[in-house]
Amino acid sequence: MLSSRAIRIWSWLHKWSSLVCTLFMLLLCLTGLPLIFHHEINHLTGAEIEAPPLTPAQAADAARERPSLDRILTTARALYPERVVQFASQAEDSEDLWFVTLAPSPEPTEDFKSVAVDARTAEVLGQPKLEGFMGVMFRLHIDLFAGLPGKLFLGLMGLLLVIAIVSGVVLYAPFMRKLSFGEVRRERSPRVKWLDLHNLLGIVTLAWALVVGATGVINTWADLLVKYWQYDQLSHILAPYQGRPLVPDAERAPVQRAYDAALAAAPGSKLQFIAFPGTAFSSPHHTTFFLHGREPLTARLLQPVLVDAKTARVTDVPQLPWYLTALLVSQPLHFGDYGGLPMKVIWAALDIATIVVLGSGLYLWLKRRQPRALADEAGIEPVAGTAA
Amino acid sequence: MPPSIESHATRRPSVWTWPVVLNALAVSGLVSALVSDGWGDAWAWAALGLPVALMTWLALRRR
Repeated sequence: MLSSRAIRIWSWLHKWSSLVCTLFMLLLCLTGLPLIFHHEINHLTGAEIEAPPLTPAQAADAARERPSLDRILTTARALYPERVVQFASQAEDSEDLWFVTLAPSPEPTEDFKSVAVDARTAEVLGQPKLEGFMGVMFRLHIDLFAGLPGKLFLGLMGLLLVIAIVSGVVLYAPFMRKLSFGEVRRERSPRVKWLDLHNLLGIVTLAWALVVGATGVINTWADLLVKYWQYDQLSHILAPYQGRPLVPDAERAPVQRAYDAALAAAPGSKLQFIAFPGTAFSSPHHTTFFLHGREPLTARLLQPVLVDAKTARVTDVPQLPWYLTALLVSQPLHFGDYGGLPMKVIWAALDIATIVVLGSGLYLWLKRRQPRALADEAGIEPVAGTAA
Repeated sequence: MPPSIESHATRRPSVWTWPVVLNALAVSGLVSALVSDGWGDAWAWAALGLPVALMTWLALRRR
């Protein structure tokens, strides 16, 4: 059992860790709610680009010969001749679609255009944009429109949330000693009622909130982890290429040949995305293919294949380091997108419960001394001061 | 009166019994959907949904 001194210390920790992060966490819960269903929302609003049914003639053409990857890229570049291709990827649930990302240079930038191209006909299907309501939700949730500093700041708030959750769990026992599980004292003052609800919702959502909080924090480090990986591992692989400039367009081998070589180097895998020379996920001399497996677990893990951009020969197939594996496994645990629609609905319910926990916590703090200390009124022994 | 004596006398289940059961269930659901697509997903819906349902009922019930 906790001494009154220990309760005071944990109460202080719970109060301050929560107070600092609560408003940001409310923002993350509110913006996260539509993001859980972004796929469904985009589908309903028509923002999601899908491969259309083909005419019989088109289908026959596509069956005879699929357009090469180079033709897909040329089609996309024709829309933005002054730009270069940074990345290309296939739709998650359809091999009939390519998404090509174009930017002014290979450097990391916020200024990119995305073009969707039909993989069967090499026709442009549209230009997906991250804008409107969902775009705002996305940016607010990821980085508060402030780039990497915004991400890292939200990560810090997430760490405070984890501290608030842990200290809240420690305080659960002294607050619940005289109550049975799930008891809500409605007949008492609103403060006591909301304290009991705060404790009930907080303790039931505990594991989920810790997992979503911790994986969210890990996600904010994604950019840094990728940078570290390049420094840590890729620099060895790229040592022989040191000092050579970015491979010019004219000297590059056909991308389709590089793609075929990459797939042959990792049999049984599927493409996640291609990073072109000079971009953040590749080297100046390589087109890097990120492949993934086809089983539930391996589908989350990426296998990079570095292909020499000039020769279309595979340079290396490096094992992904543990920290990037941890990052990739932590992503579904944050998004809740790995168990179908029922899981998304449960995710939303837990998100709403967390909003209630945050809101009631704030309410209990605002009303902490009216008319007497909450812990006193709620019957905590020994008296703990302002615990909520 | 020291609270410890009182809690021994009343012989209620520990404060932690239900929280541990419900959170263990939730963790099993979080993991099962990650490693398996068919049964794993179904288990996850039950294991995560049950605590949510119980919590909602407890929070909203009138005595």
